[in-house]
Amino acid sequence: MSLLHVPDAAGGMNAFAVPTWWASLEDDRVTRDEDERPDVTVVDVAELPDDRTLLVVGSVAELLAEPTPDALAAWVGQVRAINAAAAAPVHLAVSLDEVTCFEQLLALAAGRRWPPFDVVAAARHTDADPVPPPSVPGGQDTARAYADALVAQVEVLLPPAWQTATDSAADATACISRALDTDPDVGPADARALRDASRSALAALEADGVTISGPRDALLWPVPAERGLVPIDVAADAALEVMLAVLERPVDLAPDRPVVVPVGELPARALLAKLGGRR
Amino acid sequence: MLPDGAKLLHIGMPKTGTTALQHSLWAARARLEEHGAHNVSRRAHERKVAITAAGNVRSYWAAEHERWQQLAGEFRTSTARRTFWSSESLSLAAPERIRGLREELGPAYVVTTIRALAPQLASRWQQGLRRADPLPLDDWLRARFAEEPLGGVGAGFVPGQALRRLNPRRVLQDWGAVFGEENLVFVVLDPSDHTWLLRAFEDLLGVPELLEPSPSRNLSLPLPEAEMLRHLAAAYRGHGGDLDAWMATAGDTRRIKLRPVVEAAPRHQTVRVPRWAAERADEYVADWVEALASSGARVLGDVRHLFSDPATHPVEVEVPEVVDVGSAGRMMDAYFRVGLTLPAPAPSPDPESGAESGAESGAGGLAAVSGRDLLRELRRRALRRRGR
Repeated sequence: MSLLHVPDAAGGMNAFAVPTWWASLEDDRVTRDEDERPDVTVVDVAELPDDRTLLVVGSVAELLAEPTPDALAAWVGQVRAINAAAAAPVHLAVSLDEVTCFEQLLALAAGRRWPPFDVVAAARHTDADPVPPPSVPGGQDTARAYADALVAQVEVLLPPAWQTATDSAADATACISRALDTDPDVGPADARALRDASRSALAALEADGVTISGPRDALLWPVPAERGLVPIDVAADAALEVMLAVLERPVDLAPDRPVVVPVGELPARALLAKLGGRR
Repeated sequence: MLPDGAKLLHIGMPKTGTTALQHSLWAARARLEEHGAHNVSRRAHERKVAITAAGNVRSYWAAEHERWQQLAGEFRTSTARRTFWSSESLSLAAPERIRGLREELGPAYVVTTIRALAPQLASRWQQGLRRADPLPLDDWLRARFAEEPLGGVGAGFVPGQALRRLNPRRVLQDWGAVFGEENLVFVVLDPSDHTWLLRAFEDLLGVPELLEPSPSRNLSLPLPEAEMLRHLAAAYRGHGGDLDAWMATAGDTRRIKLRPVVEAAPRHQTVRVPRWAAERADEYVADWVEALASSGARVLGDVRHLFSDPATHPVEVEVPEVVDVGSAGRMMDAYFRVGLTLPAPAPSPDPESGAESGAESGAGGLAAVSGRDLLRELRRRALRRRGR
């Protein structure tokens, strides 16, 4: 049994970790010691190999009070302070989705991605059932062009695959969108400086023993495209995340995840037996 | 040129038009058979079989021992007027495997295709990128020249030592010692005549002019896209990415679809080595030409084609820092899609239910699916079809 230490919401991190959220879980694995650590919730977790302290973060723009290197340094200092004082090493889980359930929390704490993604179904695309391109948040024209190049061909065979392909294409599209879409608006030179600084910051945190999982590209400050050209390292960061999101997810699927059923491939006899059995 | 019953083993080199040649030979196999020239390959290029034969099996490429034994037997016992097999992967064989090849294949003429070194090095650097080698072009070139002595052959040989692999002195030394130097044939490509290689092979096979140029060829990324790939490879390695997973997806040239990237790239800035490297390459070529001239090997073609004019190379290669946004999108699409092709990990048995767990369970594990789920799914599909 390992202990997962979850500091309360602060500074844009662990935004979910408020008393009402913990109370809604009604799970006896969740405890607090108001005398020793009044700002930390502790969870008994069988799935983790070691104790760890979890910080769930969104994109870098949400973490910084203002888009400046000083604000970035302040955030890094905050994480370092938590890491130094924590009962267990800090794990920084990047999640662009709000934490809404216990399973999601455990998946993020284990360094896995969320939501579960059926890569097998997503790979089963055909030309017969095209998926409409998902919308691109941010609305920047170049991001849109990028997205068009990326998702125009995504097609699927089966309804479950349709859904998972849409999810995957949306994720892939979001990578470049968040890589290019500077919001709040920052000029190209400042954006580059912030991106370099955020890259260095992540390396420094890792050197301190902080582990990072999830779409870490979201912690790199976005850089706008200029005249239809994007910095190669920015494009490579996005491409890496697109690829890792696919490569890493198959091992992240929990056995009890929502089931995607390729009915068309099931032997008819087995299908009938199943339908006639206990439900 | 060669006696009846001659057997030819074409061992590369890589990036010498081998893909196009192999497809031309494959497309013409029926006519070649009519003229007594027998191709023991079952496809245009049985790469994994050749890798097995060369003893260069990696964790990401399953060995094909059974097929290799079959092919070797067919090659050894063939009574055709000409018997041949072509794979550049054979040039990966170390001396002990070359001896093994001689035992398993029997006597053969070993054919090596060679071309101008400077542009070949640029192609080899690109090939390395696809295998997640993150070195910049200049650093890669310096490393390659440093590891191979001018005027000799470096000790040992491991894949990745491009210059050592290409060195004709190594072929003379390692392959000549086993198959006989007089049985080595070097074919020099003519950069101005892509059909010349076909004509040379027709001569070697003793057949009339019947090989057609093939559209199949390896693609070269323009420099900005190549740099993006290099950054991606570096980031992947920096992330601690699994090399086997890379080689099963992004590193597998049959899976990764980069042709749309190349064809739609807005600026065709090809990769060229800098002038200093072209000059250095010519020094190696001069030495190699001398070695070939003083050997007992046959040389087909004009060895002057192995040189390049350094003056036509840029003094320094300007490394691009930006890439066209649409081109980068197409690159991302290619890597997204190839990531989907990674085979799911083998399911681990669930001791309680006997059902598969993990990624496979959702895709095909009927036992893991409740009847209620099945009914819900069937209803959803029925409604969807009715709505069409």
